[in-house]
Amino acid sequence: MQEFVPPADNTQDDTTTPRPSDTTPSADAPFGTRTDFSQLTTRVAAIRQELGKVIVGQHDLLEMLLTAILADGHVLLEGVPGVAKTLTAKLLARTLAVPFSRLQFTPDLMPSDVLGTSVFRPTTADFEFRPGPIFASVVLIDEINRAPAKTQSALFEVMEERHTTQDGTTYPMPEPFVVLATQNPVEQEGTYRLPEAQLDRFLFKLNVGYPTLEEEVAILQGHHAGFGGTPLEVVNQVLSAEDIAALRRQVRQQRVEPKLLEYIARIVGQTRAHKGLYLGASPRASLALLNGAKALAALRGRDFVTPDDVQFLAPAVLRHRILLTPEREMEGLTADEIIKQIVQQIEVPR
Amino acid sequence: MVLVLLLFLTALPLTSTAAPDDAPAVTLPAYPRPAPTLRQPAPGRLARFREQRAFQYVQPEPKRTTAWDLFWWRLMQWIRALFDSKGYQNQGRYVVYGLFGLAFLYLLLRVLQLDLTVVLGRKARTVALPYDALLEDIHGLNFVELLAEAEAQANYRLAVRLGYLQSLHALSERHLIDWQPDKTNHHYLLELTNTPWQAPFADLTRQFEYVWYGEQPLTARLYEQLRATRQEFLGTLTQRAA
Repeated sequence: MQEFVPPADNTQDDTTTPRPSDTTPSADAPFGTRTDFSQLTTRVAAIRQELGKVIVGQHDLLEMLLTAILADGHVLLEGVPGVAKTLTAKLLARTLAVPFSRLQFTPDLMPSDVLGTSVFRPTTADFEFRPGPIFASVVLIDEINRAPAKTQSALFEVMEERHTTQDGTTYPMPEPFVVLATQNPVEQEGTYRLPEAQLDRFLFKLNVGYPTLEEEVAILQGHHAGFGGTPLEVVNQVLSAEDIAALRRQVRQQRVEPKLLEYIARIVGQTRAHKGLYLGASPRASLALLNGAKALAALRGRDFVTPDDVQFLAPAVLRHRILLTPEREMEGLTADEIIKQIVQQIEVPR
Repeated sequence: MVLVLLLFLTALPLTSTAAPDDAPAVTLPAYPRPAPTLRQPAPGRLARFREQRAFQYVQPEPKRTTAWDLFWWRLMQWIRALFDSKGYQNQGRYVVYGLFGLAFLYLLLRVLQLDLTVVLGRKARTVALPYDALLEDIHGLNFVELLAEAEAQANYRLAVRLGYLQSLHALSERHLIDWQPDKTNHHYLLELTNTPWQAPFADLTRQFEYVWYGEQPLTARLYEQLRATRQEFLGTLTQRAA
């Protein structure tokens, strides 16, 4: 019983072909990872299996979402209506045994509706802070671009610094804290463009497109046969908060060859020098690319980062952090095409 | 008080100094006026004024011909003369017209940077890209010498790297891969799909990535194994190519 999730367009080449370093070492091979990724491999396989009960295909999209969770980052899912952005996020959150909350952003939403507010208690004659729905480990913000800038700005502190300040008191977010947001790129009525400062706080922006013919047929078959319950009921919890914390510790210990750091810095730096870009990526983008590459390498069973990891993640990390000049936009160029040009101009360190 | 007094005084009739209405008109004698003498400007000075640009109101300036106009005029004259000559008054002149048209079209495409190969369904060509700083040129390295030096210094990590670059160079020399500095090892593996070189090259790639990117420690004995694998790959490559 499967539910449709369309492909993400963040791949640059054939990612289904395993890389030599991703494969399990043969018996006579002298090399292997020095970090024990068995726990990670087992848990990720279990998550894939659970999501596979509902979702058709979508290995890359799931890989990117898991990468973001391991890299301690937030994800913005962008796609036209009806491509199961929200369902994917809900199902992924379902596999994590952590507090989950869902926010539907609307034009009349206020910052206090998100963060919480202090209410007066007559019995104690004092104000008491009532936490908003943002206080959860996985927060799904649906249609994030339907809230005005005032409400968007309420997310700045909480997304970056993992705490919020109310009446001079700082309230930390639970660990882990992941924001999965969705938005529709086509509809303009009643929507607000996200501020650059907020876009920069998302680790990845994943574009979700339409499914292939075969995938759509599989979706129809799944719906026709029924799921044996609602999609959310058939998916079981796999990872606890402690598991996620342990896996993140492993990711932080990944090895990165010094020339790869320079490679990342050169790619991000080139966005600031490119003539077709009005706004380049910030150093936060470099950090996002580094942390994402470390998590992706761990997901692929390696304890070190390769240039393939960096190239694979570059579009997802950079596409929402750059602004094209009006001339390039009028020529029909996209952010992904500019990023591809930039990556082609930087020599791979080896 | 003063104001009232002034009003009273202004209301009084002024009859004491006014002439009676029936008094005869006085005729004044003619003033002996001399005929005016017209002063003419000096002819020389007038001529100088006329020569000045500021006083030439209506005469338009003659259009000045620049060197650029002259060039185009001469060119057009030359082309006209070329095609008007008797030697081109035949069917062959249309060939010349066509050549000029193609040259113009080519220039237009170059200026607009259009790639019409897409229309023909062909894949866009890979062009040489401007690099800020080329870190490594595998075609300019003396691998034998560098490898011997690295092995002599027991710098096995560097030796593995040089050996991998040597393999890439060998594949590129035999046109089995298209060497481009922006490509990753995985790109080259994809280019070797369905060839006998993919599997052994995948082994070499794995070794290189674990040693170079993964900073895997190497002993002399382990390096000997890697060296043997590389030599076998290069040997087979040379044999088959020959």
